[in-house]
Amino acid sequence: MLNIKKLFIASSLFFSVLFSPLYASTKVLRIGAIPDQNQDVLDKRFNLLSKELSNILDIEVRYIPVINYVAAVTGFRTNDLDLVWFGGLTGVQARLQTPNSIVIAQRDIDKEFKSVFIVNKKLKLDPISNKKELNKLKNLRFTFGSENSTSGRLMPEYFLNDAGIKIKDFKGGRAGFSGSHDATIALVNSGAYDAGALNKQVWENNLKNNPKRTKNVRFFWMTPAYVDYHWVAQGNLDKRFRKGFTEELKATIINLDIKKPEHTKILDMFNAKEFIETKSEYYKNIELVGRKLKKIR
Amino acid sequence: MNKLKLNPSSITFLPILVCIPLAYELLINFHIGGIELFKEFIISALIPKINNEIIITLIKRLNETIFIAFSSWLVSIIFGIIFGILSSDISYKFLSLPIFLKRFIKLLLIITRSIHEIIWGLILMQIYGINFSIGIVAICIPYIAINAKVFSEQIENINLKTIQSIKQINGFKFSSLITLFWSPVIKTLKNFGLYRLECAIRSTAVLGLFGIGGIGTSIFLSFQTLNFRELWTYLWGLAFLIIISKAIFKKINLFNTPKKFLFNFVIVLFCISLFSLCFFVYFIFNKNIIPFNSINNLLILNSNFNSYDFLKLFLETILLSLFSSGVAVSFPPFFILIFNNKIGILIIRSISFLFRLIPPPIIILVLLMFNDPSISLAALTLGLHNAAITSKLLLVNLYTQDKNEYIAMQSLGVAKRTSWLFGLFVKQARSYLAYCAYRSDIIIRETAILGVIGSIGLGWQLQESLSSFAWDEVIIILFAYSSIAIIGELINGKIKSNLT
Repeated sequence: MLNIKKLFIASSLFFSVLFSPLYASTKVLRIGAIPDQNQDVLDKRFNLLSKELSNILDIEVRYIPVINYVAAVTGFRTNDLDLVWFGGLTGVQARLQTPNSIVIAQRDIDKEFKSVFIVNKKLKLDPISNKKELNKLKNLRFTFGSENSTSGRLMPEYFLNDAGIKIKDFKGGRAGFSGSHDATIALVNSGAYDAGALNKQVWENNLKNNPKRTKNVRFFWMTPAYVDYHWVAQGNLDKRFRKGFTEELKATIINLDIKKPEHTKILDMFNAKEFIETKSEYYKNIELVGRKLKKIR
Repeated sequence: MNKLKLNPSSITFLPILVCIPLAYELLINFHIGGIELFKEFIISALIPKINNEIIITLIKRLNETIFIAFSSWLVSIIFGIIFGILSSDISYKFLSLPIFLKRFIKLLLIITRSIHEIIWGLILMQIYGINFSIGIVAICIPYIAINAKVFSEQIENINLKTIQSIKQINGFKFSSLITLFWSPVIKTLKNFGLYRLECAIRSTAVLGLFGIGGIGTSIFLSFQTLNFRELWTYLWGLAFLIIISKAIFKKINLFNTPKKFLFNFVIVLFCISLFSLCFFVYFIFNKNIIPFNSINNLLILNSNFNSYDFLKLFLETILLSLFSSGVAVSFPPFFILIFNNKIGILIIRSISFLFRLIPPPIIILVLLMFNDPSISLAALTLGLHNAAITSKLLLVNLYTQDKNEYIAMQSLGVAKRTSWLFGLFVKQARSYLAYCAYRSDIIIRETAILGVIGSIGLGWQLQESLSSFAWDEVIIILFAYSSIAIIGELINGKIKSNLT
């Protein structure tokens, strides 16, 4: 009654597709990053880095894009990603959830990172120097970047609270989440939101390279400095690749040299002059702020 | 038992009253800030971006979408039939199965279908990471339960006399069991099963917006970077996929296919599905057993919820469901009545196609360009998306029925709108309302998606709790969602039984 031939062909086809994840090679270094900017910018930056890491370390390196910050943390915890470019908050979240993970490096600029507040020009708000004047943002439509962004949400919210402004003080009793720093600029520029907060680096890049996108936006305030982005790697890389691999990886990243033409482009894309050593202790303050704002439980 | 006293036609129009509070709140929150962006969004629909790179990405994404949608549809249909049989009263009349099994299965199905596939997706994604087998599992869980309910309702209609006569002739055999269930199962598969494939495609697209992969991921990424021309390339691609899949399935006539071939085919599909489910279970538990256990350890409730805030979010979710249902029920007949001519109907058809095509999270993001986030905005979005679905059904039923009374009324000189109302609509009002009651069940579940994007109700809190990895809060929210959906299903069931 049963047509065995058809059953066999159909099953083989189905299984060959479905079981493909099981055949994934364990010898591939999978790199991820929080999607804090336009995907095409990230694609170029991390594909270029992957190629260089692959040449120096002599292994296959693959960049795996993720759609949001939470997915990057989850991907790292579930071992879908081996080396991830995290923000301050997501890095702390990932390390708390992934025992034995290792902090590899940060950029020179990450030691003293800053966020900026921007406003739409129609509001005619002059830049401020005292954080107390942030209360001028009350009753405006305000947007952060991603929910879990350190420079686009966590630290701006912390400084707002410090100045006595709560989220419920914004128009509608809520703040929006644009999803990325570039989107924050676009939404404030269009007037969909009156004001927003984002990463200083992305703001400066857009001012320089994208005058059309920033023509209706004005700088409002810059936050004090804090530590931000860093590379975090899984603790089992030595076991998976070879003895001393994690140290080799760390050295490769830190030795990227701005004087070498092949490295200049990579460092430029990261807006950095160099990568430097860092420690997990440097991020204790970020953890404290994260706990205070209930982003870390 | 009291029957509903109002007549079905008036009940259909009555929910239009929700427009008063909706319009009030929308007007208060209106601003023209994003009008330039909105103009760009509309114009881009006519000039989508087309180049080699984007076409290759589109094909790749459509391929992923087809794979996720088709696999989840197939598995959910087959297991839907099995659970439908196991949860129908009639099966227990001739199979010697313990009655507690039926109760247990029914309860399990109620709970699993009360939570929307997006929530299943978000949770599974947080636990197991990013891979699209999660998308298939997330769609399958509620779809199996929904399909089981529909199949079980159809199986209940089997005539008891047929069973008795089979029993009298030769007792039950496996073949007689198949014969008994064959007709209702195939009929439902034809009427409902193929429609579920379209639903699976839409669900895959919406799940993609939350990072599962497929066309939805590209749609979301292009929207987030405000690259509207690229966004429309993907949206038209999705439209093409939905239209093509419908056309292909229309060609397949299950009743004319030889029974033996179909029987073999079903067995083959069943074996494949069974193996594929085993694979998923193995894949998920084998790969992630450690985090799964650690999450179990986290289930000690020490939530930071303020009970007042939680109650507020709970009520917001209920209000959102009511307002959206009001829009979904009343808008289609109201607008068809007002614009009751060929051009009017054509415009309604086109607009409703667009509202079905564009996933609700993208609709609300567009509307947020000139309105602040509010319950009304979320209700309007969800209401319009669902009105687009109910209007499609209403239009099909209105214009394929017997038109004698309508023609007679028109020839007697009765006004066009009056004759439409009493000659055409009145005959459809009852069945339309019954369908809307079913749709309201779906609306309640869909409030989760809008909440996540539009900063409203429990959906917003769910997103916050998930992004803070606060599993104790996630469990409370899921319990609240599930309760609202189950109560809603009971009320809608009552309305449906009063109408039919």
